[in-house]
This record gives sequence, structure tokens and C-alpha cells, in this order.
Amino acid sequence: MSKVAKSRLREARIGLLFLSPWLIGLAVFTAYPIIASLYFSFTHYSGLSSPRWAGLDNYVQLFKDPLFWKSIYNTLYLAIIGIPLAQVLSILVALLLNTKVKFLGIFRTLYFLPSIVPAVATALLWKWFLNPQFGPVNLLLEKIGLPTPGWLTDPAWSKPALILTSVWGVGGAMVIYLAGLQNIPTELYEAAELDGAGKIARLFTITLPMLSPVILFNVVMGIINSFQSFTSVFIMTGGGPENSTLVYALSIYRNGFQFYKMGYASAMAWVLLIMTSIAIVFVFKFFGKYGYFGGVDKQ
Amino acid sequence: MKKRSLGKTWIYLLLIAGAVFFMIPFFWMFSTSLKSYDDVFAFPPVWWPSEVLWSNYADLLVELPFLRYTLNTVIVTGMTLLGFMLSSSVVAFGFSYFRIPGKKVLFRILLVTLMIPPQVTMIPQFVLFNKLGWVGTFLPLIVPTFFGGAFSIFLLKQFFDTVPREFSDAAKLDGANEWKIFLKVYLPLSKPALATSALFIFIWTWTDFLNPLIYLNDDRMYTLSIGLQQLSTSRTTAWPQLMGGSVLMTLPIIVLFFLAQKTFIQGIQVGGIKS
Amino acid sequence: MKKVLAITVILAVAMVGLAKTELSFWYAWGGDEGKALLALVEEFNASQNEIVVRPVFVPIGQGEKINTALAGSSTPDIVTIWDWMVVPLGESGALIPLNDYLGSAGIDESDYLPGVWSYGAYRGIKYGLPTTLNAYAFMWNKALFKEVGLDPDRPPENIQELDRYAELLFKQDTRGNIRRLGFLPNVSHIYFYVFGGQLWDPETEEITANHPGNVAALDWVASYYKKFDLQKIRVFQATWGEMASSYNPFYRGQLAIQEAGQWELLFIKQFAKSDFEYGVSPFPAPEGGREKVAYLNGSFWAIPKGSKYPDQSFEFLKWLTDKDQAARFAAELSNIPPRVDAIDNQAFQSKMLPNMEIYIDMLTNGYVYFFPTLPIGLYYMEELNQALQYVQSGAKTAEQALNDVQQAVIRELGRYE
Repeated sequence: MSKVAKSRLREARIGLLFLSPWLIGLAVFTAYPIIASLYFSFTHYSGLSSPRWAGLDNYVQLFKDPLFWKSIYNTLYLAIIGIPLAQVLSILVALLLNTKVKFLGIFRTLYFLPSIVPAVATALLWKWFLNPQFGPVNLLLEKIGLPTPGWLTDPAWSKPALILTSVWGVGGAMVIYLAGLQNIPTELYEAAELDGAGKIARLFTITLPMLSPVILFNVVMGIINSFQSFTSVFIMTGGGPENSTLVYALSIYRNGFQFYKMGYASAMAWVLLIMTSIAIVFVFKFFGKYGYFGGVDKQ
Repeated sequence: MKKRSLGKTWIYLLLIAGAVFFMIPFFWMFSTSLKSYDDVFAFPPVWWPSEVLWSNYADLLVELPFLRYTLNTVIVTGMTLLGFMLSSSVVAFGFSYFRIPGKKVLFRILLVTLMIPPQVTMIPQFVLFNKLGWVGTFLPLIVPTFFGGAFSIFLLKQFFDTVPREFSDAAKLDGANEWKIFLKVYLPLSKPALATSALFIFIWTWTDFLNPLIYLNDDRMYTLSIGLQQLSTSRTTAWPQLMGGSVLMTLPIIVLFFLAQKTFIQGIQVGGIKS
Repeated sequence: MKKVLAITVILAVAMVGLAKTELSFWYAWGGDEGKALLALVEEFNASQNEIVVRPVFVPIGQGEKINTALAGSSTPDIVTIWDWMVVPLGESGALIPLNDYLGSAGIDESDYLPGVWSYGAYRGIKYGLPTTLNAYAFMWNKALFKEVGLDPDRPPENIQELDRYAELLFKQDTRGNIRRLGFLPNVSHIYFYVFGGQLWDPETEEITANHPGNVAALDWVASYYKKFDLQKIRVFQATWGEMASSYNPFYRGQLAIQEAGQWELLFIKQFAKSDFEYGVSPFPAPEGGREKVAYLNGSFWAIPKGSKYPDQSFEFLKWLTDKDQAARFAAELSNIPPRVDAIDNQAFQSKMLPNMEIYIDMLTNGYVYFFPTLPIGLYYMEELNQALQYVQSGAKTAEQALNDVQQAVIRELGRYE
């Protein structure tokens, strides 16, 4: 064996040792439930009785179910508009909170605060804010002569309404960006300043490229979350009006725990998994091409 | 000089305007906790109750064994934090630092475990823990955390990826092995990331409702988030008390956040590593 | 040494013999309801020496806890569940059928209010006992009747009259925003029965989603959302307050006539102005329709298959649902006890709110129905909600929509049989 091969082998062995806690946990705790759910997706299964083999029946029914397509549309709508918006806003807020000012800790805390307020606590607040006739948002729009939408009461506006309320929750991603900003070596900025690069130029040539692994992380987690979360929707609209906010995860929940169609819900989960995987592979490819570091592809 | 201070003024104005905007939800929760039951539903809403009822907090503490729930929550959260932080940083380093055949596939599997909605793995997971005889104890909530959490592994890996190779190469020349490099180079350089990861783990575990609900069968072991549910009947909820409970529950998170953000001070010094 | 051991063994055996059987009982609600139930449990524990019931608070709002626990057979001895959970759990083999227990305890159909015996049962198998019942009736605001010149003491006699009243009581501002709704059918399947239809046939236990009465009723329900404009209704509803508060749209005068559960009697007592006057009656019916339709729902107590002490568990349930206890518990909650002898019980009668007797009369002398408790949970209900949307928007006729529901529900049921 050559010396290089030997050191490669050693590296792989030590590397696996570092991965071993996760590998063991995967084998013991995680693999079985995931594989079981794959099996259930090919059965008729109430969640409690013993599953009965059904072949592809759940998948066939799924593609015939108008609510399935509706929930995919709603989820994609919220993701495609919501995720980029959240990234831009949280990066801007993080940049703002990375300046050298007084009371920085307090400002950061206040900006983060909404992301820890439970959804049940704010449901009534948003209903009032977005009230079509008396809410502050529409009163303001009326004053400046803009049309006043029905927001949560109108199927055409309920999704934008949800996106609007999510603006308050940018604190979560902001924290990760703030942490990411700390990892940028200051020398890079000093060098750029010597080269005469302005603030905007430094943002695009240093900050954003150096932040790209963190952006990648937030985008991937944003995709995963937007496909899985339904608590705020559940509390604010329950999926209505006219299923305009019926998101995918809410549909999985209903099928699994209210209609006792756990096999069907599992099939939905696996279709979701495939969709998310495609989206994430696409995101990784994009970052591999344009990002400063390629994230997973970096060796 | 003058231009600079003008810029600062704008920044302060912007910061204060933003602070007011972002304070609304918490302020709402807090003011609701001081309202009378009926005032909660006033339309249009009252921002501040005409009669401030601090007694809502007293009611809450009398009504529920708040201290016991807090203690349980502290145990579960503390152990979870310990478990996730120990294991996830090690695994993340494994993913970031080493060349391992099949690493890409393993990393994809890691992401897949995040992508499967919990609703469909909940039942088989429960069956598994029940076979182990762990249901009704804190074990199903704590033990798995010592085997790494996909979210923190992914997050920390992304940060470890940004640590310049020169640092570890330099340490290697000084005779450090991989473990030393992990401890002496990667961890100190990733304090903001570690703090962020810890913060998120803390928030999720501290406020988690579903997992403790599913695995605990004794109300003496309940955590705060389940305990607060006892403020609801089949038709009504004692909103002011529930909001008061939520305010109390978020206080430790606020303190922790304040501490965590202190690690976000400035960028790293490339030259500073050797000294 | 051996002697000591022997004595220890004997002592241990004796202790086990003396030890009481401990039952774990998952109850679902806190607040006053929880306290009322805990007081009963304490009373039971003090009443005898064999069994100790240990209550554990388990919120059932979402059902994940119950489903996972029963699927993993890590179960309590007694569990509290919603009506729609009973049959799915029972038919999945997770609950113990109670027929034999009820038989040997001498409890039968005649002990319960008419129709209630088959509630929570499927194909004759009873999987649970109702805790307390909720029922719906027709309710109107007398002051608003007077305002538009109607006799405040006379509810509409039939559907045509109701339609007329609804229009008379309707109010909007100059910009076309609704200011008051006369009436709005909310739980559509109540009117399926009012129009002579049914959700299923209790004799044959077949689904009858597309019954002609249902079709006519769905058309009628949808007509309200068309007539008063769905979008405007929603905007108006966004200004309605919480039901259990003084901002309730009914006694604030935003909704003149409503269908309301008996809990509204309690809310009115607690939150409405003291001079608020309202009337309660059975639902008006069209010609050839059904009089005195009573829709009921509620929650159940059941014994999971995994219970270690099913006999003792039933013993406790028998006590808990017996006339005295049932009467006191229902009175505490302002609900209706499911048993005939509990309704006549002084503990319930003495705490009865005004107008409760109208609900009781509907339940005892009217046509009682509940949403069919099927192995597919809330699926049928959700399909009906969809159907209403299709009819409202004009995407389907009522007949098409309900034919589709019929097919879908039969298909789903077929998967579990």
C-alpha cells in the first residue's frame, strides 16, 4: 500500500470514529421509524391496527386527490415567496445589528423576541392587525389610497397575510447570520479597504460570499421547515378560507391523526421527502456553482 | 467626522424604529397576561388594561405546581443541551474535516432524517421506545440526544467548513492530532456557532410540547408547556394566566439569548491563531 | 435464616393481597371541569377499599398522545377521548368492547336517552361510554325581533319563514359592509336532518350522504352564502369576538338568530348584559321535514386493550356514569347527562340553567342524531365541508357534490373492513 493510500485509510477510520455517535444513533433510533413509515406508505393502516398491504394504492389516490395538489400549491407559494424574503430581511437585520453601536445586546434581544413568542399568544393580535375593516394595516392602506384586501378572510390574500406576519419571525435566521458574520476574518475587510472597495462592494465581494455556507444552511432549513410546519397556520386559519392556507404538513396531520389514514399520510410524507430532496439538491448545486464555499461539495 | 455621526444617528433611528416594531408581539403577550378574562377579547383591542391584574400571576402559581414543572423542564432541557452539544460538535467536525468515502451519501441521509415529517415516524418511534421499556421516563427525551441532532450537526458543519485550512495545518505542524485540532482550533473559533446551536436546542426543548406529552405518563413529571394546558377546559381557556405562564416561560430564553449574543463580537483574526 | 425468609415471603404475599388495585385514568380538561372530575375521583377512592384511581391530566386536543400510546400498547386503564376517536380506536383493536360488561351490570338501551346507546358504537359493538352530552337548538335575540317588528316570542315556524326573518333582520352600511346577519346556517348537517335527510341509515348502518333530503338541505345552506355574499360574511365574521366572552356576536346583536349548543346558556348567564332577552326552540323545519331535530356530540370514556385491570376499570366507569355522579358532573359543566335517570336526578335538576328544559325535551322527545361514529374519524365531516364549498362556488351541484362524498366515504370505509 502506498503511503498516500495508507494515510487516506487512516483519515477515513478516524473520521468514521468522529461520525460514530451519529451512525449508532441512526441505526438504533432513527432508521427503524423512517423505514417503517416507508413500509406504511404501501399499506392501508389506521395508525393502530396492523397494516394491510395495498401496493401503490395510496400513491394513486394521492395524485387523484384535489386537496393534495392544493396543499402542494399553497406550500410552494409560501416557500417560494417566503424563503427568499426571509433571507434578505434577516441578513439586512443581522448586518444592522452587527454595527458598533451602544446597547447592541438589548437591540439584538428585542429583535429576536418575536421568534420566541408562542404562536397561540399572537394569533388574536394578527387577526386584529389584519382585520379587513378595522385593522391598522388596512386603515393605513386606506389612508394612502391603496386597495384594502381581505387578508385572512380572502382566499386570494390569505397566503400573503401569513407571509406578512412571518416578517416578525426573522429573528431566528438573523441569529444564525449574526453568528456567520463573526466567522469572516477581519483581514479580508482590511485588505479590501486598502484596495479602495466601498461598503456595497465589500458586501458583495466579501460578506455575502463568506456568508454563503450559512445562507445555504438557512435556505435548506427554510425549505425543510416550510414543508413541515403548520402550527401557526393551524392556529390562525385552520387551513381556510376555502383551503387557501391548507399547507402540506397540516394535510399530513389531518390524514394521520384525524382521518386515521396513517398509510396515506406516510405516502404523503414520502412524496414530500422526494420533493424536498429535489429542491435541496438544486440549492446545493446552485451554491456549489456560485457560492464561495460549496458547502457539502467542499473537500 | 460630521458625516459619520450623521450616519450613526440614522442607524440609531432605524434601530429604535425596528425595536418598537419587533417588540409588539411580546408586549401583546405581556399586556394580555395582565388583563381580565373578558378584556382579552375586546374589539378593538386594548393595548394596556385599564385595571392591571398582577393577581393573574398569583393565580397561575396557585393553580399549577409551577415549580415542579419548571424543575422537570430544567432537567430535560439541561440533559438535552448537554447531549446535543457534546455529540453534534464531534459529528459535525467529522463531516467537515475528514475525507471519508461515502461521506456525501451519509450527509444526504442526515438531511433526509430532517426532511421526514415527524407525524409519520411518531408511532413507530413510540413503539420502539416502548419495547425498550423507556415510555413514562425521561429517557426517550434525553438518550437520543447523545447521538447527535441533525440540525446542530448541519449547522456546526457549515461553520466548521468556513474555518481556514491554514489554521489546522499550522496546528498539525506543531504536532497536534485530530482530536487536538478539534478542541484547540475548531471549537474556540466556532464560539458564535456553538452559542447559536445551544440557543436553538434550548428554545426547542424548553418549549417542546409534543415529545414530553407523548412520552411522559405521570403529571408529576410534566414540563411547563404541558402543564400550562391545564388552564383550558373543553370550551374556554384562561388566557391571561396562559399568557402569564408563557411570559414566565420565555424569560430564561431571553436571558440565554442575551448571553449567547455576547459571543457575536467581531470577526476572527487570521493572524491571531498562532499566538 | 430460612424462617425469616419464609415470614418475609408470607408478609409480602399478604401485602400484595391487601394492596389496592391502582388504575391510571387519563382525564382531558383542566379548569373547573378538571376540578369537578377530580372531586368525583376522590370520592370514589374514599368510597371503597379495592381500587385507587390515579388521575393523569392528558390534553386530547390533537390526539397524537392517545394514538401513539394505544398503538404502542403503553396505555392507561381508562382514557378520555372525543366521540370521533371512539370507533377508529375500537375497530383497530385498541379498546375493549363494553357490551359484556354492560350486560352483566344490567345496563341497557333504556337507561340512556333515546338514540344515545348507538353513539360511539359500530355494528353493535360499544367501545365507550359518553361522559356528558352537548346538544344544539335554535336561539334568537328578542330585542332584535322587536326592532324589525316581529313577535319576539314566536320563532319562525318553517324554513320559508326563517328565510324571510333572516332577510328582515339583515343590516348593512352604505358601503355594503354587513352590520348584522339575521341568520347563517353553520353546522350544515343539522339541516340535512331537518330537511328529512340523514348522514347514514341507523338500521342498515349504510352511508347515505346523497339522500335527497341532504341534497335539498345543502342547496338551502349554500343559498345563504350566496345571498349574503360569502366574502362579505367572512369580513363581517372577522369582527366577531370569542364565544365565551361578552364579545359573543349573538348577544352583542351581530347575529340575530343562531344555532347554539346548551353551553351558550351558561355563556349568556356569565357574559351577556343582565337585560338580554332570548328565546330557545327546536329548529324550524320545511314541509315534510323533521321536527325537533337534536344534534348531539361530546366525549367518551373507554378502556384500552392494554389495561391491566379491565374489570376494575369498568367498575369505576360504572360508578362514574351512574345517575348521581353523571348528574353532578354534567351540572358542573352545564352539559347534559346521557342517562335518563341522571336527568331526573335532583343534583342536575337543581342546577339547571333557564331554557335547558327545551334542550332536554328535544333530546327525550325529538329526533336525536349524532355525527356517525365511523372507523375513519373526521373524514366524512371534512368531505361534507368540501361539498359545501363546491356548491357555494358553483363548481358542483349539491347532488354531484354529495354523490362524490358518498363514493369517497364508502371507498375509505372499504379500506378498513
